[in-house]
Amino acid sequence: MLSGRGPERAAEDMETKAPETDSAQSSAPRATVLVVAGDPGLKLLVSQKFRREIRENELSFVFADDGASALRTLGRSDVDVVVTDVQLPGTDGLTLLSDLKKYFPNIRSVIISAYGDMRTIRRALNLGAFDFLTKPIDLDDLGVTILKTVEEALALKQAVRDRERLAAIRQELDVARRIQLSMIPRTFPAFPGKSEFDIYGDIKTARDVGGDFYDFSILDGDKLYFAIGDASGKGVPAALFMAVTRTMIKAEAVKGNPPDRCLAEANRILCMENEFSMFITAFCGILDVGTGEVAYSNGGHKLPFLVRSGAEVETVPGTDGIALGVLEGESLYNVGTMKLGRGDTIFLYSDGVTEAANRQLELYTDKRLEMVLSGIGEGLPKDAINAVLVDVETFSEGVPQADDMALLAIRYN
Amino acid sequence: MDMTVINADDELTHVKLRGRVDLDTIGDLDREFTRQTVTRRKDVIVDMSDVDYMASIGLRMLITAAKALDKFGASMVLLNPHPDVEDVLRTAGFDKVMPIEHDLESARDALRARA
Repeated sequence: MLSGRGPERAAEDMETKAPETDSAQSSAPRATVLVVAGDPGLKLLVSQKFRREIRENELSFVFADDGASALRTLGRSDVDVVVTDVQLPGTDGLTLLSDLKKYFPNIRSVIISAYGDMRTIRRALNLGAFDFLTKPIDLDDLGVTILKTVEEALALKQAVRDRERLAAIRQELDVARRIQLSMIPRTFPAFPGKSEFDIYGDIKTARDVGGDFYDFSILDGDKLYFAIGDASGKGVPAALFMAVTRTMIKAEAVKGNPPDRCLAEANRILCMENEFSMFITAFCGILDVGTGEVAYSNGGHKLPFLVRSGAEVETVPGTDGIALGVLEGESLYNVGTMKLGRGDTIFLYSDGVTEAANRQLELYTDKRLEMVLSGIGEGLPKDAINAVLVDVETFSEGVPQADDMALLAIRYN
Repeated sequence: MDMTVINADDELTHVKLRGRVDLDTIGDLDREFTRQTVTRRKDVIVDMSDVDYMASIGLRMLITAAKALDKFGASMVLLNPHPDVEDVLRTAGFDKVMPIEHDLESARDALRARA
């Protein structure tokens, strides 16, 4: 089979090498040059000079006799470089140059003028011509000038492509950010009728937006459900994984399940179809608004701080659960309980806060967070979160944020 | 970020990771790590002592390999991670999937215990 292919290929090549049918070639040439000249001599010159490049599909040439047909050709084929005579039937080469500048700014051009006509050459360069050739045309000069211009045009093309790719990435991150923000309650005060507690949350998305979330809602009128989490990875996959998890945990809570069941059920479903081994850390709790009792469960998330009204700061005791989406099995998640007194605040956060870096690549750390929290006393959750955000900003000395930061604080009144 | 294979015999694969592991640096490490560990289907010790920082993408690489090894009846142990990295691993509960040890002998013991 393989050997039988050789002659076929050769036959194909023969066909595509027929003069002036470059556009019929099976694969695209590396670059295409449009030659615009009333004089047929130039066409011949170019075809001879670039015989090898044409044969090897390095370059392809298309030809036009005047400015108008040049523009038509540009409109329908992918041209990288235009070589044009100044003198053309109808509109001249300089007019074509200004049209190029206007309609095809990414095409590089070379102008051909009479020897010594510096005025025209200068005008052409001012109109954006990349280089010039003078008549009578020197074959070597023609070769060097066109090849150089082609390289420049290809570099420009690549730069444009890179920029478009970057724009696409930005757009993806923007989609991710919107998914993320649409998932998170951001209207405060959240429950103007509830005086038993104050709640406030904030999220600062990093440039490479990740999958942080916080969530809360009232269950049965006297219970406050709250959660925080951080999905592995970045961009849309992380945002979607987070969105699904957040909804599953909440759905279990709404059904009346205790926090450990909420995590276990979400974990069970996440483990079912998780070929990319994504995982998400999550902490969720339910506050009994009447008594201040909190039942909670942790799935590999940073343990919240408990800021007592006397400003003493404790870490909430762990419940030994693994991040969600990693392990299947029963009893992976346990429930913990604590009791909030009046003026106590529970402060939840994601590791984007404590792993914020400064110029020396030092991290913000839990310790520094704890110190800031020890200064908030019985302040409002909003003030506590803002104090932390300000301190993180001071610490990081302008180093761009690498990871999302999610913060949620609840003060029991 | 790079990886070296310290030892690969009939019983054990012993590799060492170095540097920061995050989205910007992971590159082909992911595939290389899987190739050197999972495909050999032997118990694995990952020397973490020179890993300065590990983002979630790195944790995912380790977890994926540990779970794949588990299917072949092999285990993975992490050796001597930096305290910050160890904290991240323990917080996420990943020490349940990959025990963390601080010297080679305990790492070998941990692997024997899981066999």
